[in-house]
Amino acid sequence: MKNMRFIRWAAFLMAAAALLLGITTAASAATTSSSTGWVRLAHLSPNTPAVDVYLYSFGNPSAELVLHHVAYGTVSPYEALAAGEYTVAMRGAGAAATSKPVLSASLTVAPGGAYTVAGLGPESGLRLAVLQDQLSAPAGQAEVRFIQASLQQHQVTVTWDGKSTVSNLTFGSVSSYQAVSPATATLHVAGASESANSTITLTAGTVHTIVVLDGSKSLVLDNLLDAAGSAADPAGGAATGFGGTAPQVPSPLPWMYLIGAGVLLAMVGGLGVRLVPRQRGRHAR
Amino acid sequence: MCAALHADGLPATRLLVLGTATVDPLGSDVVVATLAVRNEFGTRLQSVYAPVVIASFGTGAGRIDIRAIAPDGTAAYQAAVAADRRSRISAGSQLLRNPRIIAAGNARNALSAGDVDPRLLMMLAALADQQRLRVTAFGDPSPGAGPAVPLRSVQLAALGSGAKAEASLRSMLSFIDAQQQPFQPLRAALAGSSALTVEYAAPSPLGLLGGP
Repeated sequence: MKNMRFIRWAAFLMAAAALLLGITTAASAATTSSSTGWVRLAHLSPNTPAVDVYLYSFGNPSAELVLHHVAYGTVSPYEALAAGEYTVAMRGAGAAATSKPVLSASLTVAPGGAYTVAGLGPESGLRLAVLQDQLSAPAGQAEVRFIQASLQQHQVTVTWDGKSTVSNLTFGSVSSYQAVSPATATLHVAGASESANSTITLTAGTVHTIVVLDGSKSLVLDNLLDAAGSAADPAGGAATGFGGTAPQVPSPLPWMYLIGAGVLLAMVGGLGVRLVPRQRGRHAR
Repeated sequence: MCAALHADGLPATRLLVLGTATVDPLGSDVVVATLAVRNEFGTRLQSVYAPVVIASFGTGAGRIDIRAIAPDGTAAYQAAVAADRRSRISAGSQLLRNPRIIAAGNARNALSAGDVDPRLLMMLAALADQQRLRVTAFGDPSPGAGPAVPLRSVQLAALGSGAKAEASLRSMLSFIDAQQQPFQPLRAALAGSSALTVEYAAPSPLGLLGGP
């Protein structure tokens, strides 16, 4: 009898563990499935107030993505999103609940594709640009591109490791990716009246987007890691500058772990509830 | 023609008079091809500047065609039109899989064939996120439009009946009224208490879908 109870216990716990493992595996598979892509959102319009951003799926309402209170300089981490077509809309953060999001752009998420949906330009000419992000670099090289989001400096010139890399990049524009030799070196960005220096490490196989932002006193450089190698999924937003202090986008993964753990606890708890009277009964005898 | 259009409410700043000294009609969105304009530009009007008729009125010498300008040339325009149709077919097919959208037979056909204006497709995706809806029909109020011209109007009905359905339609209308160009419709109004019609202006923009 005692052995039977032990076997039931073990079987139950194994089933519960398998359930939790199953949820974890499913979530993991969902984020790396060939039917998903990667999307991150960036607010790069200096004089535009914070916004809420909505992505409405054409075919699957449950695939909606909503980011609240995205302020200037914020770059969200990448979010896995089902492949397909999306309508992108914006709404002023903190606007009345009755106010409606304004349609802005569309986005086609291809399987395995990575995209940055960026609000660019001045408030009066705010536009949402959908940028295709590159996920691999040529062998032995790093790839880097630049987004000019400084309204204070209408044009900037970028120098990497002493070599001119991009010249006269205008406000609201995005350079193409270009291959550079891996190094830890100084990135120098100069506008007409302000400049910024940052020591940055670009390792072989990595892909970066450098965002030039208006800071409180001078230009600020935000180094976004688009990809860390061909085998790695997009890693998320910046670890520096404004992006690093940005509100984090809620990922579904922690919730799935939590739900799984909750289910496991409930099952174990349920087992405990069932076992306790039996034990009491045994003691009462 | 420009005087007539101005008298009908089109701002003068949006009108460009084509005279005998005008080299080409480029720089506009559409060209109103009267007999005089057709005579002035000849076959180049269709083969070079404006290959697609988005509306046509009258017959014979009195016929007036409204043509969409191809700013980068006919070949580039036709390529963009073909790419746009492919994007509309993909987007329409995805909308048909949306469990919050119920489309009547002809509306289903239009969606799957890529016949629907991209602004309507994007709007429907957003509206369906707010509530379930029924697409009764798509339409194109432009007479004489060519087969490549998308349908720019839609009639929607809320699911259910009575006050709840009307409230749902009013909520959709409120969403539509809040939009800005190029998603601000030409007209949007309730048709009674059970339907909502939305119509976008011509020409349908190319390249809205399928980004980047």
